Amino acid sequence: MGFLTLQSLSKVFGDFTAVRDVDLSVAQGEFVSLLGPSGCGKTTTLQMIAGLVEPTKGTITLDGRDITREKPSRRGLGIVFQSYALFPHMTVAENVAFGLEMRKVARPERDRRVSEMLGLVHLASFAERYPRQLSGGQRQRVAIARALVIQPPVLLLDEPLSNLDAKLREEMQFELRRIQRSVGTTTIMVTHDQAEALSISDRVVVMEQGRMTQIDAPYRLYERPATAFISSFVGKMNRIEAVWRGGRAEAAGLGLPSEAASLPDGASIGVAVRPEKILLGAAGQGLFDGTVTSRFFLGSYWLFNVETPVGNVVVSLPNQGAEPVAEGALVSLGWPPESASIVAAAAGAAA
Amino acid sequence: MHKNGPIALLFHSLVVAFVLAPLVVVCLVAFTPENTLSIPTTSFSLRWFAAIFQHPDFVPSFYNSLWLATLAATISVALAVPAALAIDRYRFPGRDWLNGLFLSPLIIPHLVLGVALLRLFALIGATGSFAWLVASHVIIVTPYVMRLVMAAFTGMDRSAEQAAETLGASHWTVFRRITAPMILPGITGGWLLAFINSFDELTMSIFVTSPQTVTLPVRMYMYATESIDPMMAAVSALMIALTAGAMLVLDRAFGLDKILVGQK
Amino acid sequence: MKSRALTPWLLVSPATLLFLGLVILPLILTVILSFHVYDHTTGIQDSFTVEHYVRVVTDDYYLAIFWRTLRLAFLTTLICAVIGAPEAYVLSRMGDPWRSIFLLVIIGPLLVSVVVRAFGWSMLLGSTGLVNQSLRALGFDSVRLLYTETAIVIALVHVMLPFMVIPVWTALQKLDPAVEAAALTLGASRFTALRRIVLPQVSLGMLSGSLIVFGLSASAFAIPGLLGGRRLKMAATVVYDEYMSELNWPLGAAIAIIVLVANLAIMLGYNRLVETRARRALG
Repeated sequence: MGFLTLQSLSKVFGDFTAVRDVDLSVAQGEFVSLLGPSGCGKTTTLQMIAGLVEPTKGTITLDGRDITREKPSRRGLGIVFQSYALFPHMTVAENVAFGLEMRKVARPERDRRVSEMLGLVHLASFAERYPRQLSGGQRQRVAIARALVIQPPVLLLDEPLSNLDAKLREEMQFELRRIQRSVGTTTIMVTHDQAEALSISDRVVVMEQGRMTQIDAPYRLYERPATAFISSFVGKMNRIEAVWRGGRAEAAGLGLPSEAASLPDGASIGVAVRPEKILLGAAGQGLFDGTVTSRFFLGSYWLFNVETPVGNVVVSLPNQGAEPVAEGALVSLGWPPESASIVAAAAGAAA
Repeated sequence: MHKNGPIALLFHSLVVAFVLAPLVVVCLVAFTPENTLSIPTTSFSLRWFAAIFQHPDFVPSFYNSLWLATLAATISVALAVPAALAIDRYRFPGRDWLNGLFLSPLIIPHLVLGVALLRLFALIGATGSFAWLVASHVIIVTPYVMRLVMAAFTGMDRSAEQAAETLGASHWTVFRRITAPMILPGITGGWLLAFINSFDELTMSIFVTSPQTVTLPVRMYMYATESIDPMMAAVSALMIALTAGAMLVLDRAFGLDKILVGQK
Repeated sequence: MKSRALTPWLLVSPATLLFLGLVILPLILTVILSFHVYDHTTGIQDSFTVEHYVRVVTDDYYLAIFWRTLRLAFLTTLICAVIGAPEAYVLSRMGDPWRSIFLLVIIGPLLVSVVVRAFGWSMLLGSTGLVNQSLRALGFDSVRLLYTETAIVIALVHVMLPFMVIPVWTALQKLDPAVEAAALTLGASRFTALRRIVLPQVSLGMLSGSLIVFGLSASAFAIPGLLGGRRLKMAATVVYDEYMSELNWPLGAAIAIIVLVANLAIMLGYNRLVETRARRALG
């Protein structure tokens, strides 16, 4: 049994099932992300844990205690809302102190814990400001401080970084992880941003249409996506439609190296290869040749679209300083067998 | 990038002149030393302002209106805040119908309301009662309060309430510490707008006031239909000054355009 | 669960009771009153008749008043639209702080008692008023303005103008200023951009403004009372006369009900129109 467990948790709104039979066990101190596109049920799941939405079915237990029907005010969880939900008429310090006040913590103790928490989020000098006088990143840290100061057993984050601009978002990712490490609070974060989920979580839970489809460590999720949806949602992925013949994948008469599989002859499959796993070489040196139709410079790496007999293939190459092959150039493509996984064929693909 | 041309500005000046003309004239005439309605040219006098306070009818009517507007606005807020809360937060049968009912005084001419209330008061023997006059003013000012309070409710971030709840606050604490302070601007704006509308109301009041409960606008109307002397201008100038003061307060506190034009 | 279903009812019940008692009930009583027989010596009788309605729609005196009410309300609406919509547009193109200042100047008078404004106009338009003084100073003959329909329309326009400016202003605020600029970059002239891009977007605002102005003008009381004199009656002033001087309450009630029904019919017709337009815009 984990510290926080969800057992066949479901939520039905009218005739729409938002969350279906979700089972999850989170260990103490763990940072887990719920990842998925909007409408996949991740926020509803979070709200059920918080007590803001009543589950239709299933149970939630926290440290062995059933909290499924408990009022949100009694659960004692720390929640950071997407809009931050700061109290606009209270100062930063009053916002952070609110939860302690509700717990009837004595004044001196309250002041001490508030200033300690504001120190942790680097906002000590902003204690007397009002939320409207703060930047987006500062508001976000107030929201985190307010949620953490009550020393919650679990911290819930609802798209905490989505209202920040790109650069700030990256900084706050690490900041969030630093704060979470230093207090050691079990944390569940909802996000639709795969980069965010991969970079700061211990484990990532992918949700599709109300179901959990994969729970794994970030690198495993990236390397071994369980479904076609995950492989396209997490990172970029090339997908080559092929047929299994004689113990290997074949497309356009070419044999494609891949991990081993036991499939019947003639089965329609897809071969999935990450763009950065493909090796670009001089024409004739690889598995097959192709023509570079376009290339994009993305700072730390280059991205190429290569037209090949098996279709368009995306290849990425780290930026080594020199200019790589130009558009229109003939190149060869190749990859080691362990870099390509066999996935189910796309719907409608004929054998 | 957007500039008004000379024709547009000329048009605008004419409109502004048209809007201000009667108000400016009233204020100038109020200071005349003459016995007739004339714009003072050589000297200014406060004699007509002094005359108001010696007039046996205007002072009681002023206090009457002041009390009436204060009570009507306050009662209206007390009724509209819970009603707006229910309509904004709950789905219940008859909700749309009730919303329409509370806003209906905006589309029912005050003339019709006055006539209808006169009939009711005559039947129940309440003609001339100050309490019933207050009640009828509550009716006509409630739509204004409702609109502003509703806008405050829909405009507020509901997750702040949820946040307070998850931090351990009870329902009542959430309302007292979070919801009420957040909708306070809407409530105050609604109260002031209700006060001004009640203080200025003529068409309905003229039917439901009695000689003992005559309000200031009714008194002024009666006075203006019978005799026209500069004292009327002095009263009007005072009313304009009062309104301008209230407007300034409203504008400083909430932005008058927001209150009169509605949420952007 | 049961107490929660009861909560909204508890919250709305005080206001609902007051509105049922002081809006719905009096209106029903007034409808009933308008069918009561009235006798000049003995007053309101307990028998019922439709003669008040018949009289109001057949008697030339009342027909002339209704016709004047409609005519002046329509004229007021037209002038308000012609002045108010361009003024709102000019305002929306001003920079701060002028925009907020002039918006206050234009809509602020809304808060000044209508009696004060009517009185102001009676001073301006009187035989010795500022308008006639200026005319005489310029060598023209003085004109009779006070106690004419012109005076009523001028003062009504003054009172109603904010009700036209506000909805058009609101519509203009929702309009992305880049849209007009986009039309200009696509080769439209200033006038074409105004006509093809801005006008269609604010027409709904103008329409709702027109309705408010028409409704309020048609039931206006203080303006015709103070600027129309004893002779020029409009619907509201004639109701007042029936109640206060003639004491024929049933007849006054009948006219009031006609005013109410006309008002509601216009508002409901408007709602229907807005709905069909909204459906077309979405579909």
